[in-house]
Amino acid sequence: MKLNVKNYREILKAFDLPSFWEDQLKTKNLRNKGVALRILDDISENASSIAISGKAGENDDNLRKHAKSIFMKFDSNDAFRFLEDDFDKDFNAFDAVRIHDALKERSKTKLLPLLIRWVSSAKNESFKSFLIQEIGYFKQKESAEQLVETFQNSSSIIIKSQIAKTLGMIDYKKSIPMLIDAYNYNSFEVQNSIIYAMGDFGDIEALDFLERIYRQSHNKETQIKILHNIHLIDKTGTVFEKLKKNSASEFETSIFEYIEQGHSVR
Amino acid sequence: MDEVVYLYQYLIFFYSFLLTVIYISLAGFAYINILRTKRKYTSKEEDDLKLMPEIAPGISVVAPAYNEEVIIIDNVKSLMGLDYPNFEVVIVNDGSKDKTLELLIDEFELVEIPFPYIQKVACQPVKRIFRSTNEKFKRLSVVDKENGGTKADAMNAGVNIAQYDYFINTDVDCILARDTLSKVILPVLDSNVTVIAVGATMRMVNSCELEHSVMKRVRPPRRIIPLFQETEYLRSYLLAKMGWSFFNILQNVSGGFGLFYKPVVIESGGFDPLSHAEDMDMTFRMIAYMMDNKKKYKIVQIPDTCCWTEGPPNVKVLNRQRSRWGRGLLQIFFVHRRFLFNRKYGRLGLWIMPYALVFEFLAPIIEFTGFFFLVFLTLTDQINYSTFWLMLIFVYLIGITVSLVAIFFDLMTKKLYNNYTEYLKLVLFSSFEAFLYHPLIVIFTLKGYFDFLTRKNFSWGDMTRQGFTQTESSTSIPRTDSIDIK
Repeated sequence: MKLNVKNYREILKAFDLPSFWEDQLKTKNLRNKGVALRILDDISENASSIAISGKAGENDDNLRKHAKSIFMKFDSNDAFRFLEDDFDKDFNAFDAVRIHDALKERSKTKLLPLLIRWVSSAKNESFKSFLIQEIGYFKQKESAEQLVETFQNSSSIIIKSQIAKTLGMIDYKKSIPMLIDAYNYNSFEVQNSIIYAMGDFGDIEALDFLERIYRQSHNKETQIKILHNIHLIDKTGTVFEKLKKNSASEFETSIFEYIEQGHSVR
Repeated sequence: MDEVVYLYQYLIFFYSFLLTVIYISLAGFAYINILRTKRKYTSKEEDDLKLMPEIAPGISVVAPAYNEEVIIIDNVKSLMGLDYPNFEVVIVNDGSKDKTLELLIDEFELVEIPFPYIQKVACQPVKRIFRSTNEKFKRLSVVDKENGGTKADAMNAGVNIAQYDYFINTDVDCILARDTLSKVILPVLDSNVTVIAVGATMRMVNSCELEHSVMKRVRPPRRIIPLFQETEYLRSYLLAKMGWSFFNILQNVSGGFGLFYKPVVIESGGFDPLSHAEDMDMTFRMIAYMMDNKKKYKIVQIPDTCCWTEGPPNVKVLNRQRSRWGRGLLQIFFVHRRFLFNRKYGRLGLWIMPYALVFEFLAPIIEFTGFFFLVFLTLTDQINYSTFWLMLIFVYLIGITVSLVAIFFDLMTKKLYNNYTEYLKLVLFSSFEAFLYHPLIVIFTLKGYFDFLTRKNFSWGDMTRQGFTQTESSTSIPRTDSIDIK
């Protein structure tokens, strides 16, 4: 059964339910406050962002972070202010899910601001990496050059790895030579992200690079990933077939057949 | 002689006193932990995660199967019906002699694929890997391997195939709740420290109503032994494990159901096929790996019931189960003795292992010798009967109280039975547990110790398993059950 949104809104208004739940936010009971936040999140636009922002100073980590992420959905004035200062001192992947949800909601009504702004000021690596991931998800191509710069200046594996993935997601082909140069000097994790980025670029330069590193690779898992990405890019199948013909072991042959049959590689 | 008698009595008194204090404390911390978990993670958080497949971490559900032709199809369908956006199901056919594999191939339209198999942890040779030609079953992979005789060996093959970083260790004869995956992954996301494993509450499937392996109605078991075991499980998971988890000193993530972090499992060498308690052994080795590499870790227990497994329907099966647990526990102390009282291993060396040694391994020995000591004191007329009865009633009431608290915690988490009469049944039977059930546990555990010490080349043999066909007439036990102690 489809919800009659108009009636739903009228009922919320008639019973003044948002005010009731906003009052519940003011109680001392943590459980009640948690329930109120969740309900205000569900009834969305009718809730007051002021009442929610008041909870951003709560001692309870979960409540505080939840309030900050919901605030991002509702506020019409300075919705993204909590993205400053690493969102929260205790930022984790659960908050990333909530922020992602809020960003998705906001992006439905209006273009999001460039998230790279908060990448530069962030100190927490996990938060920085999350923002870079979101830049890719929301395809903010304008941030590409700054991402390349951050990649070159950063020594963090998780940040470099995420930047490589994001550059692929936003299809910033200009970064191909830089990523190719960086490949040999970076950790296994960053290398894997570069391989996947090349698959996203789908460029001839990327294909040549993947072919070259396939011949040099001794790691079985890396070989699978490289071939998977070659198969994605190589529209004519020439490189894939050439490598297949030269496969030296039963294992290598199985990779080719596995990928040809369209099975997933993660 | 008198000094020895007095010393022994004092030792027993302080031992019991300490155990009582530990249990009362655990109940308090478990209560806080359950409240905290229930407050943080609700169906809203689970639903939000399900609506965001682009950010929800992938999970592999690995389930070994050995001679499971009766239940395999329904159970695999049930596993594939889990409510989560990113998951795969890996069924490991561990050299079944019946039609398990053939049925899977026919039902799910499987074909052999040229899988580039990489052996990251040791197991018996993998013969073939199958995937479905039907898009509807794209989440399913079936591994056909040579029989390794243990669940650990089959699990290792599953780990080698699993594609995601987190995997569920379960068994095809276990029933998982539909929302299991979102429930167990939330604490993983909500942590700044690597969560290496997550456990959840398991209970008895005996007497529950199932429709094509999907839970329709949860009931307490009708038979007496699984009924006792239901309360025992509630005590173990909701009171002890939730309490230990508060301090991040959980000693065991159950072999029947647990979420594991694959990179650490692989680095720790995978499941040990020679272990009689592969779940506890795996947990210890994962902790040791994290400590050796000076990495912070967390093992989390959630209060929700995520898995139903078949409990021993009779004394014979209970004997086999508990003897194996006894063997496994003793083996743990032989194999991992270097961790015991070793400061380098922090919580593992100074808390987890000493507790397991004193209050789990020694408990049946103390209880058994205590009985004979009581007979000796009675015969030599050395008992002060007014104190004796007072102490006995006190200990008995403490035992019942602990069970009542566990049942209350279960209700607090979620009311799963339809009516309170069914909870009352658990309460009523828990009052007989000390006389009817517990002595059996002591004897069977001691038998396990004895078996381990006397049979040098103990063989696993051909471990047969039964499903949850609700006939309650079979005499085998699932290979999934684990050391879920007190």
